[in-house]
Amino acid sequence: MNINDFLKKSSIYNVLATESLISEDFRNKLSKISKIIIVVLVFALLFFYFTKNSIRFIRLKEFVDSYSLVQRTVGLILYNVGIYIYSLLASFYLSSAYYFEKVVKNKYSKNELYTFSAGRILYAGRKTDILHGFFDSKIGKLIFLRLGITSKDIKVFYNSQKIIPKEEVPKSEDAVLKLKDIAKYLYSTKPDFARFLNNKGITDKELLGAIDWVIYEIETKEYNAEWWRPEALAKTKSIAEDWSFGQTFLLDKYSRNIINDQEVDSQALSFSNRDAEISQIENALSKSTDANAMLIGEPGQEKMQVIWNMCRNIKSKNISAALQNKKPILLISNSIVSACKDKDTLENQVAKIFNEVIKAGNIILIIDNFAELYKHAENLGSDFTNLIDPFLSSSSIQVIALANSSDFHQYMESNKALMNNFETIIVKPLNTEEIVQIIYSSALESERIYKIFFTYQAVQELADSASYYFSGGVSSDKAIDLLNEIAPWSKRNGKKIIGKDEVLEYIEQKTNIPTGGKISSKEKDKLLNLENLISKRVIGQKDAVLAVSNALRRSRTGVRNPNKPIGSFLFLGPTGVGKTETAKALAYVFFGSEENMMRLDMSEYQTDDAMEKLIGSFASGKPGVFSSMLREKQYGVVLLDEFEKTNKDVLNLFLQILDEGFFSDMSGEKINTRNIIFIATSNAGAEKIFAMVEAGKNPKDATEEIIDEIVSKGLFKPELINRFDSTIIFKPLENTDLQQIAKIMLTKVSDRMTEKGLKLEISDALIDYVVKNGSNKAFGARPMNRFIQDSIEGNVANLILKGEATSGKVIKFSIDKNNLSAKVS
Amino acid sequence: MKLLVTFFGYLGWHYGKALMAVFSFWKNILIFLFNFFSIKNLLGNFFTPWKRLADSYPKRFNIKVYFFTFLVNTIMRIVGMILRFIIITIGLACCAIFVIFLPFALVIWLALPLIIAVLIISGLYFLIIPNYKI
Repeated sequence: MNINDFLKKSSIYNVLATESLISEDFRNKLSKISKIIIVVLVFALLFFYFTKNSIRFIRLKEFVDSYSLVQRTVGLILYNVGIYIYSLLASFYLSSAYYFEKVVKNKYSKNELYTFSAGRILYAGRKTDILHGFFDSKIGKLIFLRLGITSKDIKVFYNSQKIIPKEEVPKSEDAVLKLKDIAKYLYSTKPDFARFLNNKGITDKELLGAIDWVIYEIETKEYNAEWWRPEALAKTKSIAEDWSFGQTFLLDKYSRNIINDQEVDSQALSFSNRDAEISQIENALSKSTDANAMLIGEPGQEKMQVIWNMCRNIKSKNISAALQNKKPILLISNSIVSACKDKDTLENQVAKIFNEVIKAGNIILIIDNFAELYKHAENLGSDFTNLIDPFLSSSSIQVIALANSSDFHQYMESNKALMNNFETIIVKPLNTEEIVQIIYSSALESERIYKIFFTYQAVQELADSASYYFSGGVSSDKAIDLLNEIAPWSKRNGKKIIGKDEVLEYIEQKTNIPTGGKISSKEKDKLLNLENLISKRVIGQKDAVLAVSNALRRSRTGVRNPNKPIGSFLFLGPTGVGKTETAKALAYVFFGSEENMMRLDMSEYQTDDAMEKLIGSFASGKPGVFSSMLREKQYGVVLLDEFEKTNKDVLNLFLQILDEGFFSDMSGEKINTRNIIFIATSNAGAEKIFAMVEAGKNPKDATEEIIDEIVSKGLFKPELINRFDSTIIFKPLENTDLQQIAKIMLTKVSDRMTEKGLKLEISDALIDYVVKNGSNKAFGARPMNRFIQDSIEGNVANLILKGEATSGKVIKFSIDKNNLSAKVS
Repeated sequence: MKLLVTFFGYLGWHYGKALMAVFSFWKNILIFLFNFFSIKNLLGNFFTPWKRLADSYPKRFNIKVYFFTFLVNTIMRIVGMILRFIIITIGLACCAIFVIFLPFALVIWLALPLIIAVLIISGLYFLIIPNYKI
């Protein structure tokens, strides 16, 4: 069926035709202008009526009479009243065609064939084709704007497309054709259109997401305008509703009524699908006895989001009978804890509060941070469970306790007597898609306040980044916080349009994590020359440096798997060949400072309590070294020195970390390791490496053989080795490598001496002397630093103290039969 | 032709779907008034003491205390009943006015297209030919 025939088969066609005659902008202008004219003229008329007999205005009266201005003014008012009512009715008429596919799900009848939004595209393309209709319609333009595509780009593409005469209407997945069906059709059947979007870095998922947002924006506006809806009217507070219920004087001291909280009416929460949790609460609170629920979730606002959603339902009377007309009162545990310092006061106040709630008869008592109150009572020696048990098990009270999952597991789960009174409800964390929907309305609000514009990709990135770059807490809270920070930041920096790059730029500024947003030309050079930069510090390990550089380039350009650490390497080789130096160089080059390398000596974690030391102890509540380290610094290089020496439990922990990019600490809190480069070093296989080098073989060619030997010795499990991005063999340093290292180290000494006005002459003989005495087979170049300190620096210090080495002098070292002597000239 | 189609399309909506919407608008407001004055709630708890401010009777029988408790509770009940009666009366009066309003609203709605035409035409008439004095 062609577009025109299809359009005419639906009753919406008339509305679309009307809209083409009187557009929304025109309607709004008409209504505004007529309203202003009416008000001004009515005032003018009243002014004239009351002042016409005043002597000062006699001439005015004559003037008005001679031109019949009163009659003409009345005429103009009547005319404008007519126009105003007309524009109002036209608005009602057009609004009646909305389907509210998002705000109120699927409010349409099958015989209407298409939604209003889809109809707008088809109507715009009825004389051309669907693709041109998409570009010509106002809603299509809005979608492209949300995708960050400029009108100039659209024009070039639009003009390049040929019109397809009598194009068939695409088939819908549903009974009614929706805008998303049209978008899917265009993307899959018009290669040029898909290419046009792909060239701008836009995927089909982002196209559909932008459509979702635009529809949400239109529908919310229309939906909120309908103030006469039962849910909207029900939001008005009734008078005398609490006349039949008791007063709660003591409870009021420690609590607040949350029914009118801003969040209850916030659009942001309307799409977080909390129906499952609310339904569980309704079931629990509808019981005849023990009508209590315990909401368990991560620390943050997610539990309150469920409560606010429940309050919204209470307000709009869309809730089960047991909760209707009830007052949700939030009891702040911390207020009671800080006010009641001894056992008697606490027990007395708690019992009184519960009695007041029962007497009032219309209260749902929501206890915030219940574990805090419970712990405080237990610490004061109170038998809290027995104290509140009679109240909780009575038929005349409804309690919702909120608890963090870690507190719940630690303190309350095992208390059967307490938990028998509660129905436990786990608050499900929102997925990225749901978080994006929550950000929709907040982003629109920010746009209004700061006069900025968010693209859909920016909103998507906010949702992704919230959990990716910021560990701990609830993702939806973090995403909203991030949005609220970005809006004023962009305003300050003169950025009016906020896209994905701006979001990443802000995160990079905030966290110092290279985010993969805009890569500056300076940084591009750095990434392309990583090998050279690292090789300035790491000598003789080309293969290792190349492997690490490749991993970093993958990470920075966003090609890597986002659910794993940036990189993970197992460095195998003898001592003193540059394994630690590579980690330091990496921290310096990639993260800007050597301080971004965190070191764990794994030989300290051999005993049975190794896990407790690393991730904390549940029993003692002590935090772990590793978890605290990563909480403080969420990005950088973690060096796991002598990795083979740690115990099996710790190795198993790293199986998960390397695979999933997070681990849970002692309290069950997730710790993100996705912005970390892990480098595990081990001397395992060193003997084999030495043997191969002595036999003239390159150890790199026998990596498999070395790994097999390590596995056969039971040092690492094969699955752990496979979890690393790469196992890199560090070969023993050759004499030329050692000479280079000696030269670098001596140059560092020379640089320090230059600051004192002295000069150190570095001769080949001195380098050979340092190599010969400062290195050995077993420890590689490791003793070199100590040797230079003892011999070279020690000699220089003596010369300074003797007063021989003064500013401007050159210090020369000569070697005679392996004896070092210094001269000043 | 397009103008004619849209005009008749509009009339179809005005006297069909929109007329039903007027009824549902009227129903919504009526329910709102009923809820706003808490009529159901107040009727259900008509004899309950004012804000449940009632004393408990003593466990041991003492005629004096018993009498005073009875007196206080009765006063609180009477206060509650009087105030509730006032609100219920006002609420029901508002609902009654609104019920009566429906036929007027319907007449206005049915005549609205005509009213618009009359307003525009008479407005233009006064504007162009102001032939009589107010």
